[in-house]
This record gives sequence, structure tokens and C-alpha cells, in this order.
Amino acid sequence: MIQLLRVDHRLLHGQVAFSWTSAVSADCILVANDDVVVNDLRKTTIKLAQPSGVKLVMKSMKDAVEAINSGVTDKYKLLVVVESIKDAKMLVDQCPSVKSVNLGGTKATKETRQISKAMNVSTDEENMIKEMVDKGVEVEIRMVPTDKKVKAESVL
Amino acid sequence: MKKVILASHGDLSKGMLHSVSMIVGDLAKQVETYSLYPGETPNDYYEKLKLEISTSTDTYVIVCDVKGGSVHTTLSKLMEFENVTILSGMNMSMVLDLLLNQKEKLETSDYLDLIQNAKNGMSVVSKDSIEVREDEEF
Repeated sequence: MIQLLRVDHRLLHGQVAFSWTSAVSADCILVANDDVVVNDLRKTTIKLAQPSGVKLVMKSMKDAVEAINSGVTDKYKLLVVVESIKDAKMLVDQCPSVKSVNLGGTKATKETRQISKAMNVSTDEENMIKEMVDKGVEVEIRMVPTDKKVKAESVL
Repeated sequence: MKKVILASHGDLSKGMLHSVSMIVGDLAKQVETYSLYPGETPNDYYEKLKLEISTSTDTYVIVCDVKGGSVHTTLSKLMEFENVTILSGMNMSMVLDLLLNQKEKLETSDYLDLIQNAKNGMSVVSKDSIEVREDEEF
């Protein structure tokens, strides 16, 4: 069961490893990212953030979709972290079990505009959010679990 | 209610609260800090706390900076109260674990786990640490 799908450009870090893992009682974290799986340095640093007693699995986007759809993740209380709205959209589109997306943080670039303290989105990403919302998926902005949920569509 | 107090020489406790707030948000709002400044004695704070605790049914967890420092030794006298637990060797994982623990009353074994996790939070990495260790699978 997926407890939370989070978009966070820092992937697994303090807020996710401590607060979110505990708030959703996750017993397994899936980091879904195409670069991490081929980057030993990034992998090593992500493993440093693994909370004790929690399983940590890292997969490419394609493998993550396969794993989620195959049912092998069903027995876990799973926290999925992706780096970008694009990657979240891929999971939403290809995994019917994904019903909700938590927007945690994305970096500001020249193409983005700020929609919350930590979220910066490009026009393309805004459209992806709208498409997900239109499909009936909840897209909400919260940095930490005690923040109030802000529906993404309300700030677009 | 569980009351958490961070106590230190100087501003470590205030800084710790600021730092953990970045990770746990509003959960940190319940936390009180005490800073001992040069020329002061922790005894005044001890007396104030003693009075508060003696008329309170809350449970108190006091996290001190360094074992055996005057903040720690003075506030440790509060152990005479049943609803007080004092920890030393404050670090960020210790404080985070404490704040994220939902239990109203922690048992001794919970505190030992907390300290073990805080110890586990210490690590050393260098170039040799870039691993080829087998990744976990579902």
C-alpha cells in the first residue's frame, strides 16, 4: 500500500526520513529515480538517510512502476519519493494505485514560478498538475506533515 | 502532556529548537529551551522548574547538552520527581526521535532505544565509503 507519494528534489533527507516516515508509519521507502540507480555517490548518500528499522529500495522509474504494479510492494506501508513532478506524473499515469501526490519541494529555475514556500513549477509542470487533478488525483502541497494541506490547483 | 525541555550552556538549545523545527514543523512548538549564560547559575532555573513540576501532572523530559556539566548536574536533581526524566548528550537525532515519538509516557526501554538511535546517528564517511554494497529489494 502506498501511504505517500512525495515530490522532493532532495529525495530522501531529514524531513522525509524523520517526519514523513513517522507520520505515515512507513516501513519501506522507495526512491524512484533514473539517475540515482546509476550513480554510486548519490546512492551512498541516500543510504545515509535511511531511518533505522525501515527498508530502503532504490529503483529506476520504469522498474518502480513495474514493482508497484506487480504487487510486491503491497505488503509494505510504502513511502515513495520522486524528484520531479514529471516523475510523479509518470507514476500517476502508469500505476492505478496512486491516488494522491504530495508536493514537498522543487528547485527554482529560470523557467519556474513559486507557488509555495518550497515549490517552484514551470508551465509544463503546471499543466501536468492540472492533468493529474483532472484525473481525480489529489495533489497537495505540504513540506512537513504538520503543515496544512494546500490543494495545488488552488495556487495555480 | 509530555513536556520537552532542551537545556544547554549558551544558545545550543535555542539553535537545536530552530534546527529541529525545520524538520518537524509545528511539533517543535511544544518545546521549551533553557540557556545558561556566563555569570549565571542553573540553580535559579532549577528552582523555577522544581516549583512548576511539583504542582504538575505533566511528564517532563529534560534534554541536557553535556553529561556532567552544571546544567546537567543541577537539573538532574529533578529526578526526585516521578514524572521527570533527564537525558544528556543532546544531539539532533535524539531530539527528533523524542519529538516524533507519539507515546504519552516513555518507558526506560524507550529512552534506551532513543539513546541507541542517537548513537547510531554518528557516522564517518570518506572516499572509501562509496559503496557497491548490494541494494535492498522488495
